[in-house]
Amino acid sequence: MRHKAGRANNDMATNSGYEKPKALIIVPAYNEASNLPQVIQELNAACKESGQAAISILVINDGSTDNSKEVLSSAGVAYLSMPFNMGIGAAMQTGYQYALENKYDIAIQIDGDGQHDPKMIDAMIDAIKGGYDAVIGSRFIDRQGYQSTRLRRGGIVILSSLISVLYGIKILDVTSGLRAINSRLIHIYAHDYSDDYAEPEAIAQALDAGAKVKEIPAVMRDRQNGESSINTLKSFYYMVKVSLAVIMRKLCSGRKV
Amino acid sequence: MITGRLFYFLAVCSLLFFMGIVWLLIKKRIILKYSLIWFFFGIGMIVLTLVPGIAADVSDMVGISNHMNGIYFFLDGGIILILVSLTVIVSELNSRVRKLAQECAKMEKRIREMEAREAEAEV
Repeated sequence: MRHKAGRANNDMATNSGYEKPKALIIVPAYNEASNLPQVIQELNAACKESGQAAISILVINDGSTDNSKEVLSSAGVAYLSMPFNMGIGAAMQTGYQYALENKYDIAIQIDGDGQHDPKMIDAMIDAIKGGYDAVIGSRFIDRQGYQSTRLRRGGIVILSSLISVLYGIKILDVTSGLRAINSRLIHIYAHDYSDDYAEPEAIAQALDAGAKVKEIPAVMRDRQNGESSINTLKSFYYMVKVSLAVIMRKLCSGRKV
Repeated sequence: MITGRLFYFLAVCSLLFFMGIVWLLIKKRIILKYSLIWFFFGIGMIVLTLVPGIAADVSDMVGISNHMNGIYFFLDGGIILILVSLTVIVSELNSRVRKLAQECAKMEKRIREMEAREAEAEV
């Protein structure tokens, strides 16, 4: 492990002890019609192979304007279709609400752009079963695969340092969209989750709740098709917004929402 | 110092503004809940115009030597207050729209699955 929690209440986890938990893979997708068939195929294969949990898949079609909905219908996968694009935060929160309402023990986020290797799922579930509240797949531990642009890496380092200063825990890949959480965090996120670009704020939120967080090495692939929706201007907005959100989260620490 | 011509000009503007707000309320183009602040803002403008002594006294009290500057300062303050209140309203609406859309998506899935089950049963 690359880091350790600096808080006494990090011991309050959790799910260790259950034999075969119910896990839900949540795949947020916005205009990913060209990537979804392969992502779903890979996820189905990974679910069948997994001996760690009874895994279901739920795609969140976040108001896509392409034919994602038709692709999802024909793929026979469970999906929620947002009436309009609301951003990844709202999309993921809908997935967490679904997980809470359907009593899932673990929720795993995997992006719909095909950048995450579904083979990581078992390792993540294993870590949750081992007592962690949240597990983050990090591309910066083994430094293999797609490492993102220099500009974005710089932004990630700044956000990582900010979280480190505020919460005393070093998480390298704070923007990773590959993550798993247990039922305790599902409950928290279902009721309170950031609007957009939510990943670093969600980590701060988890740490604020005394969650035990682990980063495990993950290999991120380059996008299979299409382009990322985050350009340079959005990256700047992202940095400012997320930094403020993390600081505000710390300032409001301990307050119930 | 407010001159006679400026006094009439400001009085007419304030009255027109206030009447405009009341007209929008009567026509239900704006909801009273969200426009109360504009309503009071309009009344404030009329009072400040008709009784310029108030603006002069308050300006002197806070150390603004030119009373017109005082009036502009209070108007700016009022506008900032209204903008902040609008941000609060938009944020609340954003939360409600988000919740509504999420419920919509979950309900749509339930209906879709129910319809599929019904179609299967009919076959």
